Amino acid sequence: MSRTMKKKLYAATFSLLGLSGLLCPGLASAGVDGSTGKINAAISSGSVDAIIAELERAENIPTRGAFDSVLKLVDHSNDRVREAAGWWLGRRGVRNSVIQLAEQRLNAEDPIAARNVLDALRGMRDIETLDLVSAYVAHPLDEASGMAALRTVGAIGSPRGLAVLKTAVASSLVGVRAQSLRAVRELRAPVGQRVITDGSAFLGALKDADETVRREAALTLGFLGQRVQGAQAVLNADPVSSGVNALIDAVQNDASPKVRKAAAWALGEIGSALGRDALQKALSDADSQVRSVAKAASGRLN
Amino acid sequence: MMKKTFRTVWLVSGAALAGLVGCSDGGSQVLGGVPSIAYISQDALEPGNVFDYRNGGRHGNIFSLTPPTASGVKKNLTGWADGSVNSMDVSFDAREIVFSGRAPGDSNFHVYRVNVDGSNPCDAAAGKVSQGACQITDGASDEVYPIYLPGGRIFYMTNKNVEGPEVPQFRDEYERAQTAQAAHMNLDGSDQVLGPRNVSHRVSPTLLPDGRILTTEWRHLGMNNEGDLIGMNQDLTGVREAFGREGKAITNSHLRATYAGPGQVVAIGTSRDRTYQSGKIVLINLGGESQADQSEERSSVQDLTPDVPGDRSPSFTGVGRYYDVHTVDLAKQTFLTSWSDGAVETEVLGAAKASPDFGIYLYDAKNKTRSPIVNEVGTWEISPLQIVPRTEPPTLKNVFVAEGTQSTLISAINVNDSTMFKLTPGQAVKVRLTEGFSSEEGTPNKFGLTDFDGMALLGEADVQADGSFKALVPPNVPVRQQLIDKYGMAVSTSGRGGNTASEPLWMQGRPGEARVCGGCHESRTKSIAIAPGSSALQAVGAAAFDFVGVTRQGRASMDFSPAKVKGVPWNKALQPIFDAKCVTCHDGTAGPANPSYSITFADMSTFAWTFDLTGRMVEVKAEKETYSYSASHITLIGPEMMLREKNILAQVGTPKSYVAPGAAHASTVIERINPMRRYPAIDTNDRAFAGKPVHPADVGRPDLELTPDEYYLMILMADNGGQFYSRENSAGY
Repeated sequence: MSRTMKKKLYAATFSLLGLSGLLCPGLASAGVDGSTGKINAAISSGSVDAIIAELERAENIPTRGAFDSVLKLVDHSNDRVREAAGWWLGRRGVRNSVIQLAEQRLNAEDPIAARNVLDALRGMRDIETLDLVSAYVAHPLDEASGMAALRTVGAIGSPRGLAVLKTAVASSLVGVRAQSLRAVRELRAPVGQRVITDGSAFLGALKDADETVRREAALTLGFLGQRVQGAQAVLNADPVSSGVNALIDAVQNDASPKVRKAAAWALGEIGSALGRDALQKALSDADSQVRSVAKAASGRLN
Repeated sequence: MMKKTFRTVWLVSGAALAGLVGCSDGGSQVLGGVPSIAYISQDALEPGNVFDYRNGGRHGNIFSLTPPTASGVKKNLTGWADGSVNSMDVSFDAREIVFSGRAPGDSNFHVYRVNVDGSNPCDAAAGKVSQGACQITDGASDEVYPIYLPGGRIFYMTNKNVEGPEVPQFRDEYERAQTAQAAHMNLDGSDQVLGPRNVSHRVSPTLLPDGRILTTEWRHLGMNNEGDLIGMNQDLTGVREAFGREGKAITNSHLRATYAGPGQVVAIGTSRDRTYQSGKIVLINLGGESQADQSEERSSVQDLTPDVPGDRSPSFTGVGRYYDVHTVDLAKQTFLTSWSDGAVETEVLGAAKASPDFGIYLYDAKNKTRSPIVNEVGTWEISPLQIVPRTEPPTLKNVFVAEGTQSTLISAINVNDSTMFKLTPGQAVKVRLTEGFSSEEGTPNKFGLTDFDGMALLGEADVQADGSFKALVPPNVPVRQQLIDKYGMAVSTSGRGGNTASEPLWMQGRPGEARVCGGCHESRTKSIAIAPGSSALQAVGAAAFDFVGVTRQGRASMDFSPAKVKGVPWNKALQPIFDAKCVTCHDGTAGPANPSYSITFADMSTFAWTFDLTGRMVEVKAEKETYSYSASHITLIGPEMMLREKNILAQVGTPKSYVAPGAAHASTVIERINPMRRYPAIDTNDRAFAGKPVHPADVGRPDLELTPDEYYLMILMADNGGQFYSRENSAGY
């Protein structure tokens, strides 16, 4: 490049920087100082933190030379990197390539490839991929990829995702059932409402054969029933619809202390006085963690 | 628990150490006679950036060392097989430790307590005797960074949303984590109170002897991106900047601040990322010994480890980086630290498939020497705390109460009083209040071609003749303030505050809290004169922008008139203006009305663009780079981000951004259309850019001039960052 051309370029660049306020004082600015070279160097190092940091730093920088290497990160061994790669690619035109890749992989037979691209889609959080991901949830190739799909449904966060979560909670795969309950807690309520669901569709999970599923069910019911400070409980005092009775039963009778503990927490979140006796009894639970969590929950009842 | 080779480097009582210790009671000579320390032991890891609060190392446990000498006894207080410990604090009476941990098999961090002798304090309170920590929080969220508060309470950070389950906690749009926000509760976990929501994380709090809480806040608005120290009261009110802004910092972020002495704290100063959350030790003077004297304007910083890089470059052997710091003796400048030698930088160590090895050291800042205390092979020993009693600070409560409301009152006594801007009385006629949100509401990961978060106008309050204003806003919501001039634009300013009188940060308040300023970045240490009869602390008469009973997502409007507009969805609010008034000429056909430019990059790919204000959605491709926005958005916001690319080879024509995100008055497009005076009444003879032409009247089309309300929308778009998306056009809705 000629010196004149460089001068013109610098002049134009500084003109734009000035226009957009980039000359404000400060030691760091969002999306500044990233580059293709830095992304590729970070990838070469293998450091998860370095890769993610450079992808974030190049938030709004074209970094053209990095496309191919970032695309390969969709199959990186670390899920945080896969997700960050999806986020980075999703902010660029190659997002369509990732979606096409997802369509291929989710209709093929390799569960690891499916899991990886689902993690990338989670980083993209594109509502246009919700139907694709939801369809996979119905027939996952294995538990891990099914869980990855549900994490992506949660990350997308659309209220429309609730339908597939209601189905997935009946899956034969334990991890899928548990993850569907976690994902409920990530969905936004429909506009104008304060909660995504009353939780009745997930009450049955409190009787699941697996303790992780039962614990996640209790946590989800507590999440849905939490009181907003200064407001009434979102779920009403009807013990059937709110799940209070089911949670009381879990606190008193579940074999797993992890489930009893979660149920005690959930009763505290909902705050119904109906839970008082159960929490009082839980203060004598054989498990010390159940006792201490029940004590905290008791203090949050109405 | 995984068995490890044990390599404790015991303190020796040699001459080098003699100057660091002051007592002679046998084994407790070190650390000025401190009988015990507690620390966290965990596997090495990459913990993420300085705000990452969920990446705890595996095999985390809390140990005590009694006394911290060669004859000391090391005891595992938690006994977890494979958990993670986030952070911890020692109680005022030094009998107990509160910590945040992710227990084996759990997916979230919760708060636990354990006595320093390893017994269970919760059971002890109920008359039982048992060993191990007791859990006082559970649930679907994380609770991290607990510290003891006066009056039997615990302060902590959580990603539980204070607004309830309507939407998930605020999600940072590029770091992607749900943000950690302030909260407090009773020692037994009851009465949990969540603080107002900030736009980004708050991490690593500490309690000052005067009762205030100091914490690190991710300042993240527009182009700002740094970790600064802020203070707040114990009831989560009165959030106020403490250090890092106003050009006083020597590093990007400051974290893990702890009390050093009157008016002083020590902290780790470092880059936001790639340094394993470690860096320099910095001694920060908050501006004076008494709270009344403290202000960011008066603050200063001293670098106690000048050889340690303040950025993210690799550190040298023998220099290394520090993970945390606690003062042992400020006069002697001795500090209890965690330190690792070598190139403590992720890329270098990643390439070598190695990790830093943090151990606990006593650092003498005067002599620049370190004396090792504990450093085991293969694990990190971090967060050393002296187990000694300390005076319980006073309980602090909010002094400013908004009477008769559960909303937050925002008020200033005189907006013209500022150390940051030069304002003349009458220059600011209104204060614009805007709420912030991010992609947790369903907008795409990116709001447009600029760096701003989602914004929705709450309203514009009148500035009274005495310079005061007051308005009610929703509680717990991050709010941005902008002073507005008679043309409806954020006031153009000069001074070190930047080129607009727009707060470069978000503020928020608790229900019923009054956030009252003397002015806009007025001198924090001068007395504020309140005129007789002023009712600035009363909610009565305040502009009502609090939307009582309306859900967060419900604060949207498809009515884009000035009285009703909230977000400015580009394709719905602005494009109709362009279609009606602009595209007659600016239709993308190259010519005098539509200048063209092209940028050629080092890989010989080219981005070519012609001025175009049509609404056609365009996928602009330069090699694999694609923008999918309307032609008008790409035209006006321009190729600013493309020009950040360092591989530009050549350009033809003049690439231009017509919108300066955040500053309508600095935006070329606003200058060209040259808005008329809006307040107190429309005046077409008074233009924002005096002496400049009004477009398109200047080209013979006065019939196509924008209406006053159309001007308003254009200005609002530019002042609020020039985003394409808002709640009103989000595909997620």
